[in-house]
Amino acid sequence: MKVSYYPGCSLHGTALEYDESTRTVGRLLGVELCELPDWNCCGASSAHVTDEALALSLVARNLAIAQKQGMDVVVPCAACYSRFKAGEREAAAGEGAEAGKKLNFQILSLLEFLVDPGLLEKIKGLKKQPLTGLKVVCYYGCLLVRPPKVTGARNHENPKKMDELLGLLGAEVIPWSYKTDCCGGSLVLTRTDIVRRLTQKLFDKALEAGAETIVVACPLCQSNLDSRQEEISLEAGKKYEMPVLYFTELIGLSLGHPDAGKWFKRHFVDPTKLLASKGLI
Amino acid sequence: MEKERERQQEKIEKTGAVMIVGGGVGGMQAALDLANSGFKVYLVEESTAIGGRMAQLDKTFPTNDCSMCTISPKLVETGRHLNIQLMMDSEVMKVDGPAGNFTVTVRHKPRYIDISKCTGCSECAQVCPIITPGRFDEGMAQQRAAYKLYPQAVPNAYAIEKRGIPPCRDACPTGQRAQGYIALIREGRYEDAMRVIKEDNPFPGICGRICNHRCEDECNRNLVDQPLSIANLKRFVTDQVYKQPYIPPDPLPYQFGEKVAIIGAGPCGLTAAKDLRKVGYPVTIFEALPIAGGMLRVGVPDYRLPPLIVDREVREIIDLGIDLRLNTPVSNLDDIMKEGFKAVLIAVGAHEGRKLPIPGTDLPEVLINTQFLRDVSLLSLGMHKDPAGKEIRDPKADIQNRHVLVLGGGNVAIDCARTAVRLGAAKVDMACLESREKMPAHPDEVKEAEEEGITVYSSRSFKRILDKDRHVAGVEAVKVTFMEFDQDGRLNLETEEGSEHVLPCEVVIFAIGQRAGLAFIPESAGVGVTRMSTIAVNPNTFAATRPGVFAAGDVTTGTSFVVEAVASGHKSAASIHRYLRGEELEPVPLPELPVVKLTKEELQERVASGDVRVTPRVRIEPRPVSQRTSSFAEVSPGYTEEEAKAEAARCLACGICSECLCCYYKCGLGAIHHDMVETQEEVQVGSIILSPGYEVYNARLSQEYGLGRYPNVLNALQFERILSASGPTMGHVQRPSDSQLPRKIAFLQCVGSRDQDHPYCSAVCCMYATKEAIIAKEHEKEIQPTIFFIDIRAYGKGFDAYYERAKKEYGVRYVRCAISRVVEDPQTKNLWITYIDDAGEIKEEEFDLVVLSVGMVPSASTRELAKNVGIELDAYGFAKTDSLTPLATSRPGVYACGVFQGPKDIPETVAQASGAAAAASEILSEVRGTMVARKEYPEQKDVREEEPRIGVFVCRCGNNIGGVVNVPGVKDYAASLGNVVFADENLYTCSQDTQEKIKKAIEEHKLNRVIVASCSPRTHEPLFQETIREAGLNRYLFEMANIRDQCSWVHMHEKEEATSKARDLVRMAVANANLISPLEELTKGVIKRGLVIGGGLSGMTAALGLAEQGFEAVLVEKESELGGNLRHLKTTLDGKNIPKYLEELKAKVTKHPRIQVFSNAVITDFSGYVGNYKTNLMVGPRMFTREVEHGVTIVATGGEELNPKEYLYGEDQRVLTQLELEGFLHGDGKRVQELKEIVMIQCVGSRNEERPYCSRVCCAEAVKNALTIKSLNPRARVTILYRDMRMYSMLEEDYARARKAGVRFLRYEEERKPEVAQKDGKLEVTVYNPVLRENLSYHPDLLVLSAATIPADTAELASMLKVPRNADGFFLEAHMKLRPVDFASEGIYLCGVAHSPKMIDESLSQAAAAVSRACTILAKDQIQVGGVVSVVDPEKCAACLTCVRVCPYNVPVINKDGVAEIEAAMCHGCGICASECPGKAIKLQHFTDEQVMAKCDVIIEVLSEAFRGERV
Repeated sequence: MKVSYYPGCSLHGTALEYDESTRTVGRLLGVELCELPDWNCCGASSAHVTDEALALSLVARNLAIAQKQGMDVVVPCAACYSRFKAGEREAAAGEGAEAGKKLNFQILSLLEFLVDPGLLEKIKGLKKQPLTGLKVVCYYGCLLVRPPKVTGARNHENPKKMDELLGLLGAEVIPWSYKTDCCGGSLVLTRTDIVRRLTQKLFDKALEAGAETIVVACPLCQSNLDSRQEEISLEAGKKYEMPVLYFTELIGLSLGHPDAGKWFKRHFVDPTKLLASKGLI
Repeated sequence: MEKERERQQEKIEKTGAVMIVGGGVGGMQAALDLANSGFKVYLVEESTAIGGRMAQLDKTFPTNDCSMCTISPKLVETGRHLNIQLMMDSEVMKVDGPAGNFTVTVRHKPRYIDISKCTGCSECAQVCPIITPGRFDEGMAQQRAAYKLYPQAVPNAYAIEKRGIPPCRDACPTGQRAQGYIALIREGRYEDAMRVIKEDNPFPGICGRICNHRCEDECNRNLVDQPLSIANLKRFVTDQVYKQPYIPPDPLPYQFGEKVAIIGAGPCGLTAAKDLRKVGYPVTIFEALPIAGGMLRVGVPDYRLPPLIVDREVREIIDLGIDLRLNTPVSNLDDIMKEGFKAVLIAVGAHEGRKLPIPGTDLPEVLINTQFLRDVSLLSLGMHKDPAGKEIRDPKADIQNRHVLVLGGGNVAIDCARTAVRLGAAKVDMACLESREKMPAHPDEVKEAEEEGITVYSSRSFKRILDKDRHVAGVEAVKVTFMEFDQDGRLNLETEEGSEHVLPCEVVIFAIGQRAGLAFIPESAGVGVTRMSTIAVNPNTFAATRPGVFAAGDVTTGTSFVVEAVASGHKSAASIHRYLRGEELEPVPLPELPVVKLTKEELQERVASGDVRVTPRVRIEPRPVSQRTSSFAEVSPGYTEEEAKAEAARCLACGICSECLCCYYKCGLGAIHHDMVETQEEVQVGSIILSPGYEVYNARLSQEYGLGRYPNVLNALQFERILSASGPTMGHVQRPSDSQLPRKIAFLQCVGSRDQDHPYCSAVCCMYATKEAIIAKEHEKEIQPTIFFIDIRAYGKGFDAYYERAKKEYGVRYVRCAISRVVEDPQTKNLWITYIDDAGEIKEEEFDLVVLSVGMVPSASTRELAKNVGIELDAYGFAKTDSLTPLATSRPGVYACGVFQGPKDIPETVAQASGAAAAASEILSEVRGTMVARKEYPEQKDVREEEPRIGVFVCRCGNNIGGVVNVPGVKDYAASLGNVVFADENLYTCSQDTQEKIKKAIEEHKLNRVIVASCSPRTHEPLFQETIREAGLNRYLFEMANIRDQCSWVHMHEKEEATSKARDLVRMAVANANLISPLEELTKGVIKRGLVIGGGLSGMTAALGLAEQGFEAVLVEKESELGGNLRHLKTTLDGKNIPKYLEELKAKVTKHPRIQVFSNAVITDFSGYVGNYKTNLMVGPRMFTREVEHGVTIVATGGEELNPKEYLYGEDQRVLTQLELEGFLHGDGKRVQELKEIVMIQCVGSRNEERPYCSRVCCAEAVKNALTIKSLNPRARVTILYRDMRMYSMLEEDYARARKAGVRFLRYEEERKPEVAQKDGKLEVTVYNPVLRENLSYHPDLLVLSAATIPADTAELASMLKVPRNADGFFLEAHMKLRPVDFASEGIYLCGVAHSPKMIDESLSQAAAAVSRACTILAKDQIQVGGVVSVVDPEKCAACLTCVRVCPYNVPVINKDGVAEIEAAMCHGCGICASECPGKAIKLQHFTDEQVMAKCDVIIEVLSEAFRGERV
């Protein structure tokens, strides 16, 4: 199977382990990820709050490249995904000559793509190491499923796809009420005080629920949650040390890929102790 | 055109019947009104019982009356009305024809219980093993598949819920009801489970062990975890039952003479034999072997199927009376035919094994599967000869300590291999053509074989068997790369070149398939044989090519599974039966239910809601290999009882009813018919009323609130059930997660209302949340309810007072904040809510329970209904109507009422239903009375001079009474009592045939008093009274003893005492019966004329309604002109022209030949009673007196707008009321253009201490005027200062429209009302804004006051009519919920603003309702009065006025003789006067002091007998 792949800037930088684990899982499942040639910024960072036309043009160029490739586009970053979907919507509903144009491909978040029944079956078949005993909460953040009118997600208040996937991998998935709360990702540079409050709440609630790790599908959520814990600990006078993992890392681990250990080294909060205690690495 | 249409309309022959769709409170009200005013009614209800939503409610606001107690009499009345035909479980499919004469096609869904036979005894439900979440309790309590919707349900009959055929049953060739016996295992009812299995399969023990259980492959549980272990559960049942010693069945009687021969005593032959024997044929089985059972006995090794099981199951069939001839091979078919058999079934199976045509198969160590296994079996039985009479060579001798290779990959190959292991082979291997994945053997079997040391070589083809000195020396094989059987069964094979190799072995067993031995069928027999060596048969009938010869099982199909053989046995037997009876041989196809394939989503939802738990199947560990291989003992130990019950509990009950037939066998009335099918019927009616009601919004769609995800979030209807004493927690307030008392409860308003998908207000939620908060608090003082709301819409009569009471007396906390989400604490399951408090602070608060005030939405089935009937719906699915014709739908002759017309509460639904009844009958007035049944009775016998001859009928009520009380004992006891000349007992005294029995007994034994000792007179007294009346006895010669509800039910575990109490109750009834006497009912005529008081909208509409119904109307108006308040209104919110409407209405009224209008008229005197009133009037400026005689009275005195005393009204001419503004806006358009700023103040004179009620109409009036201003002058700024915007129901849309148009809405607080002053010649309005927390000022050009609506001054009228008013001066109806337009005094009705402030459409509906109610009287020629009424003994009366004061209906008067007089026509028979009268001058007939004393005497006697020790 071949699909177009839009890594976005994060996966080429801060979220390298997300990119690597994604490509690894793709290989294991027999999926060829064809990176969009000459892709550009998705417009999520600053363009969309400063200039709507610019933001849409940035997406439009990416979409045009994808259209040429003619394959479904898989987007691992939630922010990029949101922009792509917004672009798609604009293309369908917008004004002018382009109005009503339907794309010849689908835009899928990486999570959406991997929970396709066929791939799930494959994952089930290839599973070598069930994540038994690992207590996780799944965190989808704001942009992966919302706004529903853009993403088309059915369960936008209580998404379940990642929960189901991790359940299939054998992890103990704990239901909680904060799956789609904001982590403050867009305010990391401007209002760190708010970000600290929001992330601390997420950690508190995850701990309350009895989770040992938060699993994410967005590089911004990951870096924000992962890197923020030291600060919060200092402020709260209480040690926060909860690994924040990409769901692709856990798939790779469960499918027994030897590289899995390497990815974890890039995390601020080292997950190896936790995973070792469960006999997973 | 118009005239042409009219003429056509006239030509239509009208039908005097009305169909009502929907049996809720609205449907029932309409039905009763119509049936009581001379029309036949068909009441179509899709569920199994009438009652609708109201039956589910606990209490009703604002009176906190019990909902069920209120509705129950209506249910009973509707259920037994002679002219209401209930069509339960039914839907309207199509409506043809014109108004006046519709042809309606109605579909009746199967109920599986015959309503006419069912007595509601509940025994079917008691034996039903299937549990489902009960709908009535909103999924919170369990219900059986055989169920009655709720205890008081009407019709009092059970129903069976079927969803379809469970996939397990569908997958099984025999149609085994697996779901049924699994449920019975869960309940520990193993004998019943065995019976269920045997309905379809006579070999439970066998199939429980060796079936290939396709049922498990199809199990819906596959979607969530693992399928049920159905085969093991089946085996478990047999393990349990076969523990008991075998009791042979009684041989069956013969019904037919034709002898049937069956060749072969295998599973197919035995099944057919059993079926045919059960039908009543003499059956003979011919079996070649020395033992019966076929392959089961000699083909399946003992370690898989213990021989004892086969023997037992075979014996059970043979013992039915079947002639089994063992050792009798049939050598020639013709011999059998000659013996006189009329039909022959060939079921010889496939017992001949095959070898491959390769070199070396003639070596002595080459064995064949079937022979090998058969020899092992026969030898173990001590038999040494095979069927051909040859000595059997012990295979053990060939195998022991040798290397065995089995060729083949099927189950038989595995059997051979594992048998070889057990016979002591040195090593056993298997080799087969198929790949490992495609091996036909069951994977579990392969796994167990491997565990036992067997090696499987898959994908091999065999070249030859190596011969070394005439002994087997191995098999030469090649690797197979591809294999496939084509459509004709030919093998396509590709092998790998050069892959030849030798599989070492010393013994070879061929296990590559079996076929039938057909030597006994020579070509001359006329029975065709196929190329595959099977008998050719028609697959539907199993008939072979020779008439009378049938064949089934493996002999027709080749080797197959046991279930297949059983299935073909059943089918061939049925076919033989048809053949012998000379019927069409092809079976008639039966309509089948759909197969229930659940979706993953549905199951996940059930998992999420806790209904299904994800649990893997309960595993059975096979015995350890070491124990297995050394003997032929059974490998699997089977389930223990505990394991089996746990496994059985995993069943999803996909089909709901499993057709286990427990109910069928239990029902003593033959009321259960599992083969019922859907039927259609065409019904002629003149008009149609639709009242299908609503669903509550599915709040799971609003995921942010967590319904279905968080256990402690409920919807309001669920909470209603929790509050109800008959609900899942028996009225104890508990939260679902831990059954603890929730101390803090949050109610979230507007869930599924006032949102983007539902831009309307559901009209009732504010009040029901308030009610639920109050009732919860009444249940448990500790509960602290908080209601989160947007506006409190307490707009109805008495609602605001109720809301204030909730706040002040009950301490219900109200927080004005819409809640965006609920989060759950994972440990405590408590719920957190974030809101903004009064001070503007963000607060987080924890609650124990959250109740979602869900809105009303039309259901999918109502959309379907609308489509079928052909009427238009609005955007949300409510019926499309408009404000001036609120009852009419888009199709003439079809009317709508209740929530279907728009969200509304119970009284408005009831009023609208009566209104719809009036509209539906108005077009049929000329055919009134043409279709109603009138019952003719025989002449009443005069028994007054006779000695009492009492008959007592004691009821068993199935087991309900009979299982507790010793009914024969009670009967004998009754017979021993004085004056009892006859006593009898019945299984069900209320059943139809028993009524005939009672009538016959009355005749034969000359009974003149009848007692039934059974259930409650509340439900059953009228039935028995009817029965004795039909036998010529006066109804009042009946007496009842309640030995069920008040005896056997409450003393279920004290049988002795219950019997003793039942005797005492009967003795009391007899004591009473001795004293009862026939009561006479008087007949009075009805004056067919109505008096309507008040000439406004309601009064004119009512008068016109009466006239159109064919009755005379007298309309009395105090002013000189008709029209009332309508004269001041110009438009409606939906843009209708009111002045035009008013002119047309006035013209219709004044010109109508049956209406007489008196204007400038006052009522001076009022007297009489229902049907016969007399009213004196003074009319006109010259005050002429007039006397009017009329049968009914309608009060429509209306109200008016208050003249405000505040906000500078009357002092500054820029201050207007809304009505004045409306006049202004429709006056000089120029002045409107000049307006820049308009401020409106709501609640002026309403919702204050002086007038604590909401005037209801002012919010809509303000919005209407604001919109008018905006449309005329869009730049004008309009600001409405309000407390709550009460834009209820569809008005919410107009509220949104106004906001969109730029009208500004600002809230003010009751404590800080706006202040108005004149400053520099300008008006200044200052108001504190609670959101901004500061004062705002306006300088409007116009200040408009939304002044209160006040009732007309009716003090004098009320006292003349003797009807009550409430503290606010509005008239008070008989019952706030169910009698909204009736007064307690019969024959007097009210409507319009006289009742309470209301909108135009509401007044119109209510006026029509009053007409409808009035017609129930006017339609009668006579009314019956008397019976159970109070009578005064004038000799004893001291005219003390006690009775006058205590009567709730104001009936007693002191007459001209100076003594009390009670008009029988007006008396309700409540007995209050009789009990209060100090002089004992008043007697309530049928409940006289003597009667009551006689009953009390019995109690005293009983007590003294007990005291003397004469009783147990």
